[in-house]
Amino acid sequence: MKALGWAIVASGLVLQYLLAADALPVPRTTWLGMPVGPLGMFVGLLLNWLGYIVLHVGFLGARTTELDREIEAMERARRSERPLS
Amino acid sequence: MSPLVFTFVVLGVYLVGLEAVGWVAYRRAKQNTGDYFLSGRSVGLVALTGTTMASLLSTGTVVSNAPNFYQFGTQYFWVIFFGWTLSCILFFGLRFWKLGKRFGFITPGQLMKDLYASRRVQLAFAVVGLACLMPYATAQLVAIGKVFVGLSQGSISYEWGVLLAAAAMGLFLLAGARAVIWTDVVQGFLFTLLLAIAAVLVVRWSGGFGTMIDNFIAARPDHTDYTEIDNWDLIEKSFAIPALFMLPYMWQRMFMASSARDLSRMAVITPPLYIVIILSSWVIGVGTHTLYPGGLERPDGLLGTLFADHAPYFGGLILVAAFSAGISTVDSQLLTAASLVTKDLRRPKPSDTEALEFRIGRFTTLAMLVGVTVVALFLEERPIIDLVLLGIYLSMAFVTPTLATFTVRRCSEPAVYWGVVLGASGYAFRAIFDETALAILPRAGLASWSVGLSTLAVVIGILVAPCKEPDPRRFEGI
Repeated sequence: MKALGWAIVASGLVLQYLLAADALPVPRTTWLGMPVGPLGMFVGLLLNWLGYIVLHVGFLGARTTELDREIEAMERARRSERPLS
Repeated sequence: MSPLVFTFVVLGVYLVGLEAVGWVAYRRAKQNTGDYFLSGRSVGLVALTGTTMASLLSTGTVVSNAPNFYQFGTQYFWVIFFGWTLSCILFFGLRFWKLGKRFGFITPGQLMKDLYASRRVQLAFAVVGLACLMPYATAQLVAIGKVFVGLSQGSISYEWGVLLAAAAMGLFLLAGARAVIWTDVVQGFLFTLLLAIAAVLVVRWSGGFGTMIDNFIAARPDHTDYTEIDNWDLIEKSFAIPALFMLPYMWQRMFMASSARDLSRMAVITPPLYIVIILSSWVIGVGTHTLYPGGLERPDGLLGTLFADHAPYFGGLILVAAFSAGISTVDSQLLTAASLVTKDLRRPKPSDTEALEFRIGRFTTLAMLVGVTVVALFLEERPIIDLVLLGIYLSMAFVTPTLATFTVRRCSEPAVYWGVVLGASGYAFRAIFDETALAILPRAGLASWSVGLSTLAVVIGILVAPCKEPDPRRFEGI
């Protein structure tokens, strides 16, 4: 899921870059009521978003919860070591 | 009540609200630098999203977006690269957060100093970080001054706008990062909402979305495709703009998060808000072709003209929101700049107490505010986006050393130090001796010089003086 998430994010970034660099043929027509060129950019942004969701649901959500527990445990230990004033 | 009076009433309410938030935050503040600069590392999901949005979208970019889409059409879509910053936040941010929580770092320089046991690395990060932040913060004040002229319809000058904003911030900054974060939340979400409403209004005034698009394509068919792009400039922007994340005040946003889970969820919540802002700005730019078929005399003042003609009261709200967005960015940057001076540049004495460091931090913040205000007074004519990019491009000097630190085991202290120093020197050389620099590398801009020399120094540093025993914290991963 980690690799899939990053791959989707990267595909969005590449699409945006290729569009901006005029490396993709963009017809001067509309699709779904939007000019195809600008629409492509928003599709790229949506791909980025989808990639972040896949990363969070498939990998980062669980990993960050573990990480939070590690830090909480460390902070508890640090507090218990500190002498009471 | 006239629209101008209404605008001033809204501005007055906003400023009173700002100071009230500052006062409450001031009362809750603890007298230590962790609380003053990082809000006690307790920033939750909503606040983190709001402050990241507010940091990504300063007045300069937000006020410029719609006019630039109107003037340049698709050619302005490079602005979308600001959104790429989120990918960097996911890649680096969790590592920074973890190290910050465990070891109590407040500045990027402290973190790097600890990983390499090197005072000079800390100084290099601090000096270059300050040099990045100053033009950016100044750009925001310039933008605020210009917005103020629009707010008052020219009856109050640019200079008085800058001075009023500085005075409001001076009181507010005494409260530190907590006050900044609280207002960022309101401003980040409110601005997104207002811009979305503005876009809906423009569509209605244009006679519907279909009519608006038809008129736009008829008026400017060249604004729907991506020809006439300077590819080298685009390449520079594509790698340099996401380096916004390397600016110390963005880096500190990662230290502030209360939990790693909130950081990860923030990356899921922010993109739709970002899409709304870009889409709304594009719609306003496109709709202007229908509403002003003869063109605008001053495209830069598009928002002011558009709403003065069609919805003057709502326009007042938009301009106050833009004014507030600028304030939220400047105060974040000034706090960070002061933290670099207090924690990195200043060498603490053994007898220093937290209370003393806190007072030094507060004094430095106010001194920096005075400095950027004075500079901003003389830069009214300077394009805002140019000043913003000046700061971002210099932060390219951090990219390779930081990336190598967390991914290359042989990356050593000399590689990182010289990477930052030569990256900044390359930037300065290109900025000062532009003709000579262009003769050596035609078309290479500030970002290319900065990242090019920095990468060269890191590679040579790794080859000549590789690290034998790297700090294991660099490779703990997420």
